[in-house]
Amino acid sequence: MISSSVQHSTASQLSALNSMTIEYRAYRPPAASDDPTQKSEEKDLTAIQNLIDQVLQEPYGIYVYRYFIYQWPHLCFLALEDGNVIGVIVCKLDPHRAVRMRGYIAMIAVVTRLRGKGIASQLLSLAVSKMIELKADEIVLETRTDNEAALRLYERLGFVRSKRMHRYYLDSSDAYRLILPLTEESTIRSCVLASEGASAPNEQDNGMYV
Amino acid sequence: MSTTATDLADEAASDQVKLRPVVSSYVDITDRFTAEAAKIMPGQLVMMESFELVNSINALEIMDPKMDTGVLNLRSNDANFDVSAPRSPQEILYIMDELFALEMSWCTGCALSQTIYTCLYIEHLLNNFNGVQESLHFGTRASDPPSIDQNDLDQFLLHHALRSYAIGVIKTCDLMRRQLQCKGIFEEEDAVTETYGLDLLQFVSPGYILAVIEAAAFQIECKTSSSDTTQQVLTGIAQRLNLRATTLRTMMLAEAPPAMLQQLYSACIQMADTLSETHELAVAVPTAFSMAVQGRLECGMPPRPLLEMPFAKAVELYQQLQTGMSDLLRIHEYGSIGDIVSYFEHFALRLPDELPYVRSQLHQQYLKDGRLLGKTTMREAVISDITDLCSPMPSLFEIPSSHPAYAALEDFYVQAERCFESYLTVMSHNKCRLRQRLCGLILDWNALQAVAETIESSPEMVQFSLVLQGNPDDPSGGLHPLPLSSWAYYRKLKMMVWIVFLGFELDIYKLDEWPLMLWYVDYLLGITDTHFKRLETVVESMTALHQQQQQQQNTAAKKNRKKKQPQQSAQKLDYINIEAVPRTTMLLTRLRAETEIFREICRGYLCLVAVLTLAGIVNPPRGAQTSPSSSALRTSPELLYRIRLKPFGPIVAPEVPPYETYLQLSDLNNWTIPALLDNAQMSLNGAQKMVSQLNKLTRPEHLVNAKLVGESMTKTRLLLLRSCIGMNVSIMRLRQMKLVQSDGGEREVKRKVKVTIEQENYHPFFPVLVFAENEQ
Repeated sequence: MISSSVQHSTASQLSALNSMTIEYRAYRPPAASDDPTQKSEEKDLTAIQNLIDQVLQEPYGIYVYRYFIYQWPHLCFLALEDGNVIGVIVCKLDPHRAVRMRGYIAMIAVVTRLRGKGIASQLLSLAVSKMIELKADEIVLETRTDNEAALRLYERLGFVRSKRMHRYYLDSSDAYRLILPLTEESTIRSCVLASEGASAPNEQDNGMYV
Repeated sequence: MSTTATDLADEAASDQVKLRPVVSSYVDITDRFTAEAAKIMPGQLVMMESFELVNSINALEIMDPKMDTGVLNLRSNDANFDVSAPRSPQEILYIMDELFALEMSWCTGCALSQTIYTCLYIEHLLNNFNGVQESLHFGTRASDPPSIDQNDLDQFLLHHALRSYAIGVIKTCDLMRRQLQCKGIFEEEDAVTETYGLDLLQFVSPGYILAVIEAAAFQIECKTSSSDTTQQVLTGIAQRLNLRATTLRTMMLAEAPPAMLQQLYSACIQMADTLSETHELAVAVPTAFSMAVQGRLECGMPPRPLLEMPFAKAVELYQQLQTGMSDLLRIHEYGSIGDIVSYFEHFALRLPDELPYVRSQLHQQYLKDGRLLGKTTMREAVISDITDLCSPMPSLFEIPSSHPAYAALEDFYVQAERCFESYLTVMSHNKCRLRQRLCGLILDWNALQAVAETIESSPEMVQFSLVLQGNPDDPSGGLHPLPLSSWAYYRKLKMMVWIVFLGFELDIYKLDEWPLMLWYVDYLLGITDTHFKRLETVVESMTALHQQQQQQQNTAAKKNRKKKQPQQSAQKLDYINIEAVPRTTMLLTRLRAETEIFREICRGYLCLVAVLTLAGIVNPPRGAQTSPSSSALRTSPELLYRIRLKPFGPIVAPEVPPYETYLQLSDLNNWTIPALLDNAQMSLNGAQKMVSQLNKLTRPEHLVNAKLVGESMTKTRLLLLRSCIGMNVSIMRLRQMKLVQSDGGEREVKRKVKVTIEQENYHPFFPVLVFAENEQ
């Protein structure tokens, strides 16, 4: 499902990033209010939706954003310039076939004018680090086979292509499934883990926001 | 409060949006829903446990133009398009050619909603159709066919030529669609068979439609025009109608004798060649095609782009389709069951990939109901396959039900039939899916091998486990034939090798993973070769034993004749299937030669990528950092090794070597770059020589199980030669660059040499690396 629009960053571009006013933070859910008539807004969610709608081809309904971000808000990171959202990464982490914890990068996007400055790399690193902290066994995503910039980005961070999927996207393009193995469980086939009685940790243990 | 459909319709009308009620009455829950929804705070989620990601993706937001196809319809002018308006001959030609191109797009796996249905003429016909074939016309109402002035050329072409052509396209899709719904084809991935609530004339007889098309073609051929251009266009229209008729005929006569079908396919291919002569005369009618049709279908998908292809490409694809179908008929010329199995295997690896319809026919026609060509059972196919490989004693397959091993053997055969049928089924998958399914199948065959080994080592099977005198130093005490487990092991090894090589073809391995994957496939090929050698030894030994016993019997019989003593009935010799031995011997010889060729090429490639590693052009896989500014590793080279060989983890034999063993056995760091290049060249030259020698073996006895794939084998070997030559050229290029062993200055070297992986015109398992100096 992954959609990404990134460009390769070199070390020099990353150093330029430090001098730019880009702030990185996690997604902030709407603040709770004691006054039932005062409803806080889904500011971050609206900004994320606007960014992705503007930048990416695939159509995502509000349900997709809420599915990911309300269940895994701690796995959504934003990049802001002067308070405006200019980059976002949206992920989830849950049991895979009941035998391992699998992280999934659903969406990553950076506004066109700020691409090639290492923002996507930073967002990806933040998300991956958080998922490692939450005991992910592996992280997966899909990307177009012809998206060379995205492939370079992920492969530089240790992702490998595990399989190719025929005509995966709506425009009939193929996709690669990429995987970042983090623990030994990731390297063992599910059928073997299942027969050995392995089970993934309860997702509640990962401090999910409900 | 109950609201009728009429109330709602009135209300909708007042908002200038016309809605058609779907049920007769409603209960309005708007107020209640709003009140409950108001209790949920922003950021909160109320969700059933069963609501999954796929549900969220499939949920559409009404009035969002990216998601709601209905919005397309609101904004379209399609209602103003008059399908009954006369069209010039050139415009009719355009519409027919556009339909043809859209049909080919559908054949490649696009949805009807983004191809054929986008034609407003098709939409009109399907909406008019009320189950009665006479309702298929361009009149306003189904019951009110238009009156046509037969002398008006434009009217005639619209209501006869285009109408019959369009109906023919619909029926062709209907017939194809039914065949595409089979095990070998995956919905959405290979083909989209969804009709969105429309009837593709499924109960209209193809014979009726064929007659309509042929009548229209005949009438047009009789028409003349004073204008040369119009005359050419009329000829072109008639050609298209005749091609449509012939295409429909091939589908109606799917059960006809192969010779007749062969003629029809050849005719289709030849007729398609003529289309481009008149295509340039067409005049565009772009308003006749519209994406907004998606908004008028029972479609839960977001808007999909209209997918058409250039006409020349459509003709090429059509001819590829007919060629593929024609080639399938050659299966009827098989000599042995092994010929059919080989055909399936070569089909799976064919380039370019066969279209989904052709792949579906391989499964539907030639693996019908789990029987090859609808007649050979899987049991017969399994026994034939085992016999070809091992020539086991015939009594192994004739065990009476009273035998103590009968039940266990029967279970084995049932399992073997399932495995073999699955193996043949996946040969009709697309290559991505083929690789994935093979990863699953090797586990089934691994289990099958274990069952076979248990049976063959049981006391009940001792009569079939003759121990052959082997190496006196062998602690096992001798060589056992073990045909059943040997067969399962061979098939499993073959699939494992395919999984790795398909990874190269699908570009799954990065360049820094090539050393590992080449080493591993060479490891598998080495084990395979050892297995073939073992089988050869068993066959030789059993044959010698058979001949020795035969000789003794002949001598005894001769002696009795001399002494004029009564002849004793000769004991039936049952060591080996002596009649099958020549086939087995030739098959094993060829399999070993092919395995050795692949090994030599792998070694050549391994040496070359070792050069790239030594020169610092390619870095061995290492753990990736947690972040660009952190030195902490989040994954390790060993993890990457294990994830790459994950599909083979559960396999008991051959088991995946430990990472340390791999490092030890694959270490080429003590070699110099020139020595590695020399070795690479030697291996590739050796492989080329072996291919040339193999190509000289053309007598029928050399082509065991290859009767149907001779041409394919020749083509494959040519591609292997190309890969060898291509890599030899790359070796020369590297020599010219005078590379030196890297001392850690990786970046400098990387900037100097650019490596690209070329696949076109080379063997898909062996893409070629091309090197160029990077511009500073």
